[in-house]
Amino acid sequence: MLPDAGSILADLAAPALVLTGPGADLGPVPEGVTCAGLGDQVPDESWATVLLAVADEAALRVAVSALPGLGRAKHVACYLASATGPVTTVLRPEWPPLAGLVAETPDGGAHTRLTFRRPAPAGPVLVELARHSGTPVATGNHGLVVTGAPVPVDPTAVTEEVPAAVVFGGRADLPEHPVLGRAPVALHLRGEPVGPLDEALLNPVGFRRDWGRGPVPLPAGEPTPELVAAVRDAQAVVVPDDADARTVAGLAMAGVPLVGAGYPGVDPIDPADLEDPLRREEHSVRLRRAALREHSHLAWRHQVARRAGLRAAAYPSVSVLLPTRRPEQLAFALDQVARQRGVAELELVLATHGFDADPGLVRERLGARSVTLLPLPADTVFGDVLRAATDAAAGDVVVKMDDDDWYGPDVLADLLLAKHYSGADLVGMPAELVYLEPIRTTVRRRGPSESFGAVVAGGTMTLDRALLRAVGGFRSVPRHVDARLLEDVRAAGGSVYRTQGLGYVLRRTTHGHTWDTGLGYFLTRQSVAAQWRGFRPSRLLEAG
Amino acid sequence: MSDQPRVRRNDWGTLDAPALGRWEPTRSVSVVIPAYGAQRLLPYVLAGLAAQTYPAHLLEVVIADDDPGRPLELAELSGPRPERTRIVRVETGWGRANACHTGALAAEGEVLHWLDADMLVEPDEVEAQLRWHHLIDHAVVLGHKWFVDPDPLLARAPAADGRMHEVFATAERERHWVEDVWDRTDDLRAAGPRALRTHVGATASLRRTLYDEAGGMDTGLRLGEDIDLGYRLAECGAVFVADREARSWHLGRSHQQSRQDEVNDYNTHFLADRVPDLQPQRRRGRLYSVPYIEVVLDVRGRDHTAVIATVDSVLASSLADLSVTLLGDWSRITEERTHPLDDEQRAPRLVRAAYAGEPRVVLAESPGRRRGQFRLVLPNADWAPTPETLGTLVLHLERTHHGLRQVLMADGSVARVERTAAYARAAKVAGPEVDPDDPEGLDDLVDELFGSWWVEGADAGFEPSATIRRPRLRGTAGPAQDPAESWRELGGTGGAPQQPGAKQARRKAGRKAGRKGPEEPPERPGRSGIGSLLRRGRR
Repeated sequence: MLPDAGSILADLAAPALVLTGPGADLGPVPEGVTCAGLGDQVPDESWATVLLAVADEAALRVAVSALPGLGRAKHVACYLASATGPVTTVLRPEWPPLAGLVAETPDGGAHTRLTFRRPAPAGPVLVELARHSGTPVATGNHGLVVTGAPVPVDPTAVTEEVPAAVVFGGRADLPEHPVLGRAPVALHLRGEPVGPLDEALLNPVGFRRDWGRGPVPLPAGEPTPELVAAVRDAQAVVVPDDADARTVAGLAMAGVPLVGAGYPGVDPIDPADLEDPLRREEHSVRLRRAALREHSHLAWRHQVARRAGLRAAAYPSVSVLLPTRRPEQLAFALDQVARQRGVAELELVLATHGFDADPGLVRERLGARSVTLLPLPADTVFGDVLRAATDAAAGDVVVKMDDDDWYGPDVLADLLLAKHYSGADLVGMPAELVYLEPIRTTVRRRGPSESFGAVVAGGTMTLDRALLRAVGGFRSVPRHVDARLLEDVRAAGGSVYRTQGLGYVLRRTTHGHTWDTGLGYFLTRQSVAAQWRGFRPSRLLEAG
Repeated sequence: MSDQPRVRRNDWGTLDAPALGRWEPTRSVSVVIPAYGAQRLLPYVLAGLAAQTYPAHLLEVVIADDDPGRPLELAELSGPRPERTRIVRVETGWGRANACHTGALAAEGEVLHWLDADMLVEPDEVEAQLRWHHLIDHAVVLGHKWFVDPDPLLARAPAADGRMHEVFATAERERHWVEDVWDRTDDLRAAGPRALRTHVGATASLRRTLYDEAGGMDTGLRLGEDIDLGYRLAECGAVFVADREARSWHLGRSHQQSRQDEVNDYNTHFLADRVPDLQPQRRRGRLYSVPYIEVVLDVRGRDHTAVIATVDSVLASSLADLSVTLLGDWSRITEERTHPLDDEQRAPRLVRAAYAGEPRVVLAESPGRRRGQFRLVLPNADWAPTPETLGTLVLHLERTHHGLRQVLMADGSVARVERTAAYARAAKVAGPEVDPDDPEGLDDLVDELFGSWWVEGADAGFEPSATIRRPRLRGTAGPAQDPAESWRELGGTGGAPQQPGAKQARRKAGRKAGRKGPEEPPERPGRSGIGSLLRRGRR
């Protein structure tokens, strides 16, 4: 039986310290429990229990980056007045051994308590609890420490020992800092800032392609996962002209379709199109891209770095692995790579299997982009072709592309974005739109998107190059190399995330004179969500 | 004509019809009036026609006089009438359909406009109807009418001032039931394939060429001829336009309630036989003159076992309302002396023999004119349908209003279900590069105008004809059985899972039959033939 919120305080081992943020009221405080607000002075004592009580996951993540000194305690707990699920964590090896862990969800909130055999450092334990809420986005300072901004900028990043390189609202004549070797840059906020917003909590995961009710009014309040969850079943949210820009941006980051005043910079959606699930989802994808690139913590930090003239962690560099054994497909495949935009550092590793690529053609299609030509003999096993391409690649992230599928210009950027906000080890798109060339029909397949753990199309697999090498690279098999890699990543404990696939069209074609008996599979009842005669990609392919 | 505008399904709203009074008519129209005992109201009908805005030199009136016992003469009809008015006598047959057809045969106009002899048309009625026929060659225009008591009109003399109908401005009026359908379907724009069912009522017009193509009115029908013609027009690709600006007044109150049930009962037997679209009036398990679906299979060069397995499977469909056309060189089968087993024509000969007694199977050399509302073309005899396949495929087409369904088999062959009306429409509006006799060349256009889809063969219920299960009928061999026991075995739960009530009923029946022996062993469902042989042996 779940205890109600009120009895949580009664069960605490004394002496207990309860840190409360706004919106978390646990009721009357019993003997032996000391209450303090976040930001208040905390008595310097030894505690048996430290409990952090805040309103929700967003507040938890912000609170832990500004905790006072809490010492060590045997019991470390957190309480959220509202949460999308229980708060759990992974034990860090430097902590003392764990004696017990309780994680409950009383009344739509969350209460988690870790009990250690010996007192554990309360602050770091709370930070770790916060890190495991939302998606496992790599948080932290991304190479640029910022203080003084009147908005939360360091979700779960603990910055007390690191000097800030940028100070908001500071005086222009700050003294030189001994560690930095120069004065911190002073910036002033321009106007009313909207961001940054936490992309670990506000992201497209959970987007629904169907809906249970029509457009709903804009909900009031800070954008939180609970706010987003409450409108996932709605067709759209109507944005009034005087809407709170933060709420709108938060919903846009989560991909909630917006009508009315909408989101600045994204074309409004035609009301007739809103009734079409495909068009609605296209609109959602445009919103997500714009909002995540503008208001996510990562994006915000890069904007600040640009303004201050400093360096922040780079966006990862991408190596495209493009194996092909069809010289007649080469020009088409190169065009798919050439049209990619939004990726700062891109190189192509072209592994031609059984023929040599014409360098003139490659130069003509790819211009100044970095290309590595890798011709391999025709009898090389396909898995080994990819292995060789991996070895020749130099980017941080590797993306495998197929030589006959269609790729919209934002596919690589979308994959990198999904990799960031999902925190997954391997990211890909579903083969949702399939062009069945022998019968000149486009099929949209059923299946989830924006979810963990599913199969992804081999022509979109994206993972860190280091991870690929760590799992042994592509296996030396003649076919189904994609499935083998997915298995290997899973077996190594890696997570797989499937983002939206509207910018990608899989091509099924005849192989010489043999009829492709697998073609019928794409037309079965279970499989088909929609079909069209001819080549009908989504608008995100930007065909023609 | 291949450069006319294309109408999707029945959405005539995309046609750019000119406003009344703002266009130049060029096509001639014949207003055909079937007349029987119409002397009292005909003068007003003709006066209404005399007041038409449509150019007089393009308008003729053909009155089909259906009463040989009391011939109608123009001289006895007082009042104004169009300059080109004449009477033609119905010499054979009788009834409205026959009279309309007689009038149509005598008509010289490019457009036929039916008008009953008790209808007063407003001055721009003919103009309103005719504009559609200047846009496409396959429009069937339905006008709007009110039912009124004619007395206020009859109190005056007929006049060609175009204002006679104003006498009804404040009169009580009733509307025709089709208006309910118009209201529900955005004036038939959203009615899809059901638009043809509103082809009733007296003011409709169509191009003479379309009328001839559809085969004209069925002169043998006494009632319901409109619905029958409407169906055949739809099968020619007609677009049904509901034009509320083509206004007329029925001079007589609506008698809908009084004998309507009798009318419906009369009609249903004639119409259900001819109009497959009236599916709700057809019953399972029997045939009709016009089948719902026609199945076509070219048996040339095919193994007869595969053909027979496939055709038997088609005939075993739960949807029995079908016809099968087998294409072959049937005339090449001769009766010359030859060893039966070495006969070159053995396969087609056996197929012909297999279906000699099956009225649903027709042998032909070429597909010919479409005979049903839908046509299923099988690509070969390798894939046979299971009993629910045809019914499900057709129902899917009906529900989606699509014009084509393609079924992809595992070996890449494709079965097609074509909606007759869709292919007729496409053939009319296709560009010159398309061969209208090759249905596959029209597929893209059918998709554009009606929609099409692919389904997977196994999903649709097709199985390889070589292995499809074809249950045999029950066996009849064995020695004579005791009638009481045999009857019990054949009735109740014979073969079905046991039910307590049934067992008691059988015990009761046993007692009534005077059986005194020990209790029979309990019935087991699906008793084997061996068991019953043994039991019979005991007696």
